[in-house]
Amino acid sequence: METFLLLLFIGVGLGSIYGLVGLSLVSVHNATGLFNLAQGETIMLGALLAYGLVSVAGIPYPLSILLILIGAVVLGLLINWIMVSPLLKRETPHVTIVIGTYAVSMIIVGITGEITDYGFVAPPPILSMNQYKIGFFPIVPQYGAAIIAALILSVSYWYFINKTYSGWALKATSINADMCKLLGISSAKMIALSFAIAAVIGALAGVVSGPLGHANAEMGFPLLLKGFISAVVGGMGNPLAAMVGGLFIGILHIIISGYFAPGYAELAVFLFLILTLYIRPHGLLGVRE
Amino acid sequence: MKKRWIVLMVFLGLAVFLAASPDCNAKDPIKVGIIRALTGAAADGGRSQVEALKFVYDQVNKEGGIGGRKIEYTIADSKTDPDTSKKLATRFIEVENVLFISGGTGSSECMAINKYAAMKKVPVFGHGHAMGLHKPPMGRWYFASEANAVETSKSILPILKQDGYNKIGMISVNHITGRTSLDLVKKFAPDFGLELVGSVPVDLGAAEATAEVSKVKATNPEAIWLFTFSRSTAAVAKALKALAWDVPIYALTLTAIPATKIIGTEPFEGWRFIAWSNNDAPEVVAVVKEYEKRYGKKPTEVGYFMGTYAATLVQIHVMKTMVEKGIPITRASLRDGMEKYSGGVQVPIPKPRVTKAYGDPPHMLIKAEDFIALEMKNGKLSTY
Repeated sequence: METFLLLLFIGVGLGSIYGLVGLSLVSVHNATGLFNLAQGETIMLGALLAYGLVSVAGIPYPLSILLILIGAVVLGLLINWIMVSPLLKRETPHVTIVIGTYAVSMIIVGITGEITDYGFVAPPPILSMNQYKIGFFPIVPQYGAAIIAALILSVSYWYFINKTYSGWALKATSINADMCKLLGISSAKMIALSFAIAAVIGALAGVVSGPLGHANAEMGFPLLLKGFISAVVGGMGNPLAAMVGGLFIGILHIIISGYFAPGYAELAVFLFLILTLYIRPHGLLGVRE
Repeated sequence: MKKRWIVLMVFLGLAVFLAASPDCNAKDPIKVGIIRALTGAAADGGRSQVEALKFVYDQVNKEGGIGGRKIEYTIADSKTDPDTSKKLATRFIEVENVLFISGGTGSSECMAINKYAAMKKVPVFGHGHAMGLHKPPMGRWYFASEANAVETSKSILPILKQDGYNKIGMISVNHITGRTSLDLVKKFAPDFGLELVGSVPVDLGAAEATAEVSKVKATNPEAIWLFTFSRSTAAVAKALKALAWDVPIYALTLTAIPATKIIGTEPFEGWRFIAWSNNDAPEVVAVVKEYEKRYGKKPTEVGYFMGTYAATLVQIHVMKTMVEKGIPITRASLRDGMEKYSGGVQVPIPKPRVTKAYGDPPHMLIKAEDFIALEMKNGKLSTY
């Protein structure tokens, strides 16, 4: 029972990371209708920068996180400025822009890989990786850090979207950009904002996930895939549904790994995706538009 | 007139044939195609191997070559990818006409290279240790710089028994090499009076590894044989902490040392290792110092470096012996020479020793009895 509870906790921690990645994808998708395939690289850079700033440069974690977040905003805005906005203005088909974001992703991976020699590093954990007990419940604090980060970011995102003027403007842009222009809302600014938000969420996902495994220039895409599955399972249009999808995927992955052969975990995730789409084509919490 | 043309064509054909032959002229350079992982998952190992090859070949060339023939080597990046390795092997054999191939870094690359090279009867000097590499017809042309999976399995089991354990668990990397090793441990464990009570293949993430390792923990083994690579080793070290499981761990130094680069030495404190290189041994330190003096930096990974260094010393000894005996160095004669003349070479690993001749396949520089046992204490490895 103790092992089961530990695995459940770890599954929630892992699922929180998948959920965060899903949330970052949804935030761009809701504003633009696009999937930003360079999103995985914000996760990768978050993890690698955490290693570089904390382990190599010796900068304290809080300051390092602040620097990473500033860097993430700059990167998100750059991706939008270089690739997305110019093509959206020219009314380029969305699939072309998505391929463009993939090209940006490859460039970031290539440059980072050359700088780091594609080496593997482990960013230092924010909290301990050892097991502790709260009553009879075993926990590993670093997974707890991922859960807390997911809670804070998803609640903040929900508040921003539903309770602030900028959030309403962002939501309105995704529904009818032309009408928003007439009302004086700059859709270009809103799209840029969505990229910045997504980059911040992605970078934080990298900071909390890096210590759980290892970081290198190529770590982004596998996480992006899991985040994408989380968003689809949860329901593509709903940011918080991505978190729910992530939790389902994370728990499923860990429980199957713990009680069946490792290969079955990946299989189970994809079977779950197919099953969900078959029963609820718009995801667990998604609604028909 | 027509007859003269025929004679001319025959001469021309002969000239082209001789020029294309890798051993046409005693003073022609010895062409070597080096295929190693310079990027990708096995890059640390591959780079270290290339460093060792350059170290030995440059020295040989500086001393005048082999019977006056310089070693002309071309380095290519396999990208830790079997398909790329095969393409490079084809290029080296068909276009560049190399005498032999030195490659690759891991078993899957070696397999891809060797399948083609054996068909073309070209010797391959690689690092891969999958058993398939040593089976005919590939095994006839393959010379490993280390042991194969059988020898590695046979080396750890007596050490576990000697250290007083009866019930063991095994954690292996989740791919063909790990699964093969698990099968071998299952097969050989009873011969050493050991019972394998639990086993699991593990993935690369610490979260997944925690779930997977928990299955072995449930079987209560007295000690664990960990057959994983660097990243999965790091993942298991984290998993053991998450599970609060303090069990004696036995692993391969070759994979643990790169893992310490990822997560530091602290998680490996008290772990025991089987090794083919004690990086702190004076003989190994001397080689590393010499390398550093010549190239101004340390080898990327000393274990991988030393394995290839020792195997290349043997290869050079064989070619020099062949020259002394007046045997022309061809692809086929080099293969035979490696079997016959590879004994009597002083190598510094696993401990300073004189090699035995490879003999019939499987051709390996290191056998089960050669491995040494080490323990991590205060971040350093030492014999125990």
